[in-house]
Amino acid sequence: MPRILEVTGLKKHFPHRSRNTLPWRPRTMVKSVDGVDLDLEVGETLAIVGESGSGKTTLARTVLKLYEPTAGRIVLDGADITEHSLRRMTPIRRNMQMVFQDPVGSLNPRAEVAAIVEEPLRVQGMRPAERRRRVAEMLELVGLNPGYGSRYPHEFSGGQRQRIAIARALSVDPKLVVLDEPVSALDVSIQAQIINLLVELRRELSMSYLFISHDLGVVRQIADRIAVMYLGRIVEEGARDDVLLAPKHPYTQALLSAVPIDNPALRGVRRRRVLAGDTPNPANPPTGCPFRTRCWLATDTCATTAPELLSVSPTQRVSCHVATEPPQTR
Amino acid sequence: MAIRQQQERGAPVLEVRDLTVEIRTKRGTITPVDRLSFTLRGGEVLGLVGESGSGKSVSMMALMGLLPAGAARVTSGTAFLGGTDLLSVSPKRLNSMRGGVVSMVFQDPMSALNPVMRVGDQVMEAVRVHHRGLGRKGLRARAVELLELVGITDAGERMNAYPHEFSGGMRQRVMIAMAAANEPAVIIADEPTTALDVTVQAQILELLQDMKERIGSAIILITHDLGVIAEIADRVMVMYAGGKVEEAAVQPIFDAPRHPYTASLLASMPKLSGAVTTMRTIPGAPPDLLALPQGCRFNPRCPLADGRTECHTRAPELVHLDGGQQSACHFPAEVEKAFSRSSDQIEEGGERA
Repeated sequence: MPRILEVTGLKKHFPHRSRNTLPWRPRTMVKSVDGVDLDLEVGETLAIVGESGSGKTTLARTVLKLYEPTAGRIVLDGADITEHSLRRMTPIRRNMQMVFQDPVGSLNPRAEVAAIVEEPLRVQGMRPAERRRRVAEMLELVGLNPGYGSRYPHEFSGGQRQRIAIARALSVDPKLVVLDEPVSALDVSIQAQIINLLVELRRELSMSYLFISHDLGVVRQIADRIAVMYLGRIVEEGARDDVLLAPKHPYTQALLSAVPIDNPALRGVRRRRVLAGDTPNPANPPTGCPFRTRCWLATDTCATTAPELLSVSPTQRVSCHVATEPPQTR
Repeated sequence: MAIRQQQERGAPVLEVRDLTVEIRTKRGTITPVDRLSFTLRGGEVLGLVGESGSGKSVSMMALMGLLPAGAARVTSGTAFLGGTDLLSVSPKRLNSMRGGVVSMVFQDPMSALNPVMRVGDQVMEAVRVHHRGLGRKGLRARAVELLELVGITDAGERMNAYPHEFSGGMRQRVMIAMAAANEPAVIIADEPTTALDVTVQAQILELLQDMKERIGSAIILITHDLGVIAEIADRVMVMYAGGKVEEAAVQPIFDAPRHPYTASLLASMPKLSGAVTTMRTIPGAPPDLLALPQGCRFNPRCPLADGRTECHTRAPELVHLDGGQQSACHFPAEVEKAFSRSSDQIEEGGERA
């Protein structure tokens, strides 16, 4: 399969001045994304899961060049866009679009829905008559009445607003859509409608999705592959069922075991791995393996050497000294 | 205190009858809570489930006397907590009960805590309000004890920290310590884990369970997450558009829901097991409270309402079924059959949200 996206060694560091730092001291850096490799095939959905502070949103925005990468390479559809200027990015943006979490904040409250959906088309230089036709087509595609184009965002429910945001992103016929927690702000009943819509659209329009989420249940519905992030790095990556059914990294295992299960009869029966404490501060990450401070398998090696992401099967990669050890030495 | 004595397991602690709340809006008056009745029993966790706008938070705010004055008001109902009607006592008396016999944990611990006050002082204040006689030393000792109880290490030292120096999970622990400070008969927890990461959520749910055992409070847990309900609730109350549509012990809610809304919610929940298929959805969106449908409020989204005139003409009353289950559906016996059918049937009809 041809690849739509190839990311190698991607880093995004933000300067961070802590309270105790004097102005002439060197500023510390928050390593939000710290060496991420990923690739995405045409028509594939890769989910990035992780908790708050894991760097998943920064990764998504850096991939789209909404942030300037600190290091690494981003290749979109065969072209290296890492060094592209803002101006050179404009024509490329028709191939890469984004849907945000908050359907209220991401739509201009003073613009009519038609103008919102039309904007990327205008940027890409489409003629007005053609634009109008395309807007009606897009609204219909996402399950909205095309006659609603003259209404304003506040006249719509949360789910409908997310449909508008999806229509806007898809209007330019992108090859890659980055969805950042697109259903997290929605009620359960609406969530399912939007997930189904996204799955259906991807199939019809043969796009690729980079799907950012903290919700493993949602991710399971939509992803072909899953990458788990912790403190700016991918700790495990693999085919959906590998990661969800046979997680190798202790963090993935803990994450899965923390998800509540919808069966009260299993209460107390299921063995739960409750992680102690919180994710460490990304401005001051642990040495060696980022997860070792909360890991129950951590050894001396983990404190000194950061593990690399290694293949444990053709479809699964793990970054853990213990999990990737050869079985005889374990 | 009289209320403490009633707290043996199973005895009613809080009895709410016909609670109705009205809110005046620019477009007209809405009734976000409409004749809600329920009983909270000693030592139990009562889960309160519903989507946004179902009235779950508003009803609890009404009980706590925390509705915004002027815009919202309680128009009917009683809520007896140990012989006192929360809805008719003087504001002064209610003030003395809040944090004493009934306390609350909010969703967002960052905005519920005072950002410019040390954590320890806030916990001490929560204790002091109801223990006027205690000296500063006594207050401090009690506050440290509470923080230790909720699992904050180095509690003595952490007393001097400000809320922003704590993580979200730690802040929620502080909130729980404050809510538990006076060993209340009732703790109302409004989405206490919604703002937290899933690994931290697991810690907080464990803590709530543990606190309940230790101090014997009954807990009302408001959530939109049926997974959380499955983890921690003993009984469940499901709300839709201002009214209770179903109530039952937790197991029957998951095994044999008797209201189509409960069944729909369960069906549209993303799961971590079973085959991955097109998700079952609930068509449409919750109704506009200014333009409620005729008859049953759920009828525009209900798979059972098709071609049944009752659903469109008469609002169903809450009926008591066997096993103590309650359902506000004209056809509670049909729910099971309707939801075991193929998944695509429910998606037909109804306008999409």
